Amino acid sequence: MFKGRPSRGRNDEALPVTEADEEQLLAKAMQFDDAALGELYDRYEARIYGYIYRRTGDQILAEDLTAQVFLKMLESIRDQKAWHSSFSGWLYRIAHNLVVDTYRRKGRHSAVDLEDVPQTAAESQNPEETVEQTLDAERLRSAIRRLTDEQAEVVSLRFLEGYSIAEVAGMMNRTEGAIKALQYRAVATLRTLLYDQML
Amino acid sequence: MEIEEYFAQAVDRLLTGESIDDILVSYPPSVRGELRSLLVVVEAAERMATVTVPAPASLNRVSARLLFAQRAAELRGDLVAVSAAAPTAALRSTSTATSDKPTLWQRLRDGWDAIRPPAPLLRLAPLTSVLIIAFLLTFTVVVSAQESLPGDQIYGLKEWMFNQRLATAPPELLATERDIIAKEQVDDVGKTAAELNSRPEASAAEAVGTFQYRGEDADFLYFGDLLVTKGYRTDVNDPDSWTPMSGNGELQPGVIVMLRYQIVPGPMGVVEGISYVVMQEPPQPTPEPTPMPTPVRSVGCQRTEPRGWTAYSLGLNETLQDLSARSNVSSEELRKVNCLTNGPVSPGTTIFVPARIAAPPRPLQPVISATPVPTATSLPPTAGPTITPTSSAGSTATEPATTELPDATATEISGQTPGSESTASATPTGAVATPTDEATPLATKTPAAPESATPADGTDTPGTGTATPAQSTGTPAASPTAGAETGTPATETPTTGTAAPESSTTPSATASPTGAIPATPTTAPTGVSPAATAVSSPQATATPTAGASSSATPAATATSAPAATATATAAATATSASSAATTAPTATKIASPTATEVTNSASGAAVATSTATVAATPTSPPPTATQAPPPTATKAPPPPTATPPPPTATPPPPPPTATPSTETSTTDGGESP
Repeated sequence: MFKGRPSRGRNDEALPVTEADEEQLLAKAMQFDDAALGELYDRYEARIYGYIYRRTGDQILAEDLTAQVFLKMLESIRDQKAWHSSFSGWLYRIAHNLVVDTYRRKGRHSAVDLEDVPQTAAESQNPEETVEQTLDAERLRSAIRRLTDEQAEVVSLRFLEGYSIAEVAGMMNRTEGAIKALQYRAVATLRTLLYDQML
Repeated sequence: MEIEEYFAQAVDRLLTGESIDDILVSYPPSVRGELRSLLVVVEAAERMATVTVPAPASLNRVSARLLFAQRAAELRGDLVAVSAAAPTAALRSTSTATSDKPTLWQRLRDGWDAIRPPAPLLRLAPLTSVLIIAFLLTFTVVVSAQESLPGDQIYGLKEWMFNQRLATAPPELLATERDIIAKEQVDDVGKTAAELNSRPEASAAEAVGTFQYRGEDADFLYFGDLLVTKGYRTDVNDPDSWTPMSGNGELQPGVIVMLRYQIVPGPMGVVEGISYVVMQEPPQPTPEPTPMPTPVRSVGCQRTEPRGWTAYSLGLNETLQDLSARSNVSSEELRKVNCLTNGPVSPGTTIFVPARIAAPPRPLQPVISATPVPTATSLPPTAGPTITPTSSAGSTATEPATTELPDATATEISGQTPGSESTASATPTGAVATPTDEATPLATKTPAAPESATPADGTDTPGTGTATPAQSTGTPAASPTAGAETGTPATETPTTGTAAPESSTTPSATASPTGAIPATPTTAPTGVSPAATAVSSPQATATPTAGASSSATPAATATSAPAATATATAAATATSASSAATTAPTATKIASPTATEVTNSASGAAVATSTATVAATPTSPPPTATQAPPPTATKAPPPPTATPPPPTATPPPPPPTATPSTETSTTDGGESP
């Protein structure tokens, strides 16, 4: 049984900086300030790496994509295409897009697919129990990759990264109600995908 | 409240550590099921999220950090440059606006950034470059070597390439390739000589090559197409500095030698030999491969043609067993006479065989005589058909009448021996043996040991025939009146598909005797046919190509006496045709007293059951097929479906007492043409 965990998105490695501090930091970063950029890198590098690792399960790939996320951040600043609302949400969006692009290049079936994961308790009577027994990280990752971008982002931020509804709403520039509905649809779709594989 | 709200609340509570059951109690029962299934998924996702993330490798982390800083510095430099250029441009806006243009270096760098491949490919760039350089170098060297001439430093590589061409040439093209290379070498020498001739001050060019030594005359040695003097001048301009060529190894025509020679100005195509080393002896003639055992002449055996024998070329698909069956000479004797050892004999092998079978078998020609004419009416009637199932070799039939066989009449063709290859080609057409006054040996051969088939399991055993000799001693009770109707009825043995032709000149009741199974007509005391037919195939295999398999047993016989009676056929003939591989697949059922069922099924074609019965009276009713149930057979063969058609001609009516043997064959299926 899951015993709960603190919200990582807010408490994990984020420095106790105020929003004003971050605004100043981002403003300096827009001018390619060394210190500001270094500060942002150190602040978000571990989060982005953890996010990508949880999405891919591949350490090397996670390292590579993390580096690319921050390089893209620089390119976006140069091209005046940087964040408009939430810097962290924008950074996660870059990471999410890189993950999606990576698996798209590899082909959907080059990764471990749901069909490839052995089922261990398909005979279980109770679907919930079946889910509990058979779900594993790979199956879940594979299922998340089948969600829409928004659904995958919500699931990742809410359940993998531990952000609250409000935080996710801010990161995705959506209302909380929209995030709740998106969250519900995403989990329902995940359930369907997972159940379909077990039947 | 909507389900999305319920779910959002439930998720928050789940993330705080509450159990799903505790959470669900707070919600209406109508949504509990839905919420439970969703929370299970969330719980699984949370479990995955708690997996410890491995720390990135320190080196990679530092290098990524440095890369980030470097790239940030580059972009900052660009930004500073643009910022610096902007005021300048503003100041010079009236004159120059070109200062905003990026420098050449910037443009190159931007261009590279635009086309820069993704990182994984970039990592392969050095390796790709090395490969490209290596390829270009190799290409250059090879081309240079191909263009080189004797005396060049790189000509050794060309010689090496020559050797590789020889080494990789197929054996059958080796001589051709060697000639081609020899010509190329001579051309190279000629070019070098021409170049030397054009430069009188040039000295001799020395080279080494591999040649095939071809001989010598008084002045020259012949290496390939090259004329080589037997010595060389250490000083080209000094005729007295002649030094004999040294050598290592014996020069024999055909040997491969490595020749060191020098090309001097003068006649083209002639070089001065310095030394040679024999590299390879001429190839020795390889012994002939060991002959296959098929040429099976025994060593030390003298073939002599016995008297009455003749040379015979073995035909395709013909075996010694076939000839043995046809010639009444055992295959062992054939082998002995022809000095053959055990083993197969190739088609086309000429062997001595008894002269009477020298003629190759003709293909089976079904002869249907629908209008039987008693052709042998002049023969005096005899006591009646002598039915001796085991003594057919000497029995002759003076069969005055033809036996009309309906289309169901078949000729059994089967392999000679169980082991022999089945070449049976039965034609389920009516093959009527026209009785003549003399039976040929081929037609009267009776196997020494009739075989009996007991296919208890429903399968034929090769070499197993069915015979009913028990009743074969019966003779027709009635004496034929329509003619001399004697014969050896139902001496039916399968042959290798050649029974029919011979049978046309022999009593119809006899098939070629090569088979080991006599079909014995039986004579029922009552004149009706209780059954007596044995037609079997030694092959008796179920495959369509296996040949014929048929059997007539007392149980499964179809008798059609009237037809035969009408033709005054005295001889009881039993000819059963089974299918041949080439004619048609057959389905033959064999019913023997002990067999339940033997089925050859290919396409359900023909079931040919021949019976030789001596039963019908001339005045017997129309043709009917009577089938007597087998005494012990649990499953009778399929009932005969073909009924011999009534004769169209009216032969002389046989006397009422005549009980000529009647051959009936039943063909079940569409095998009749």
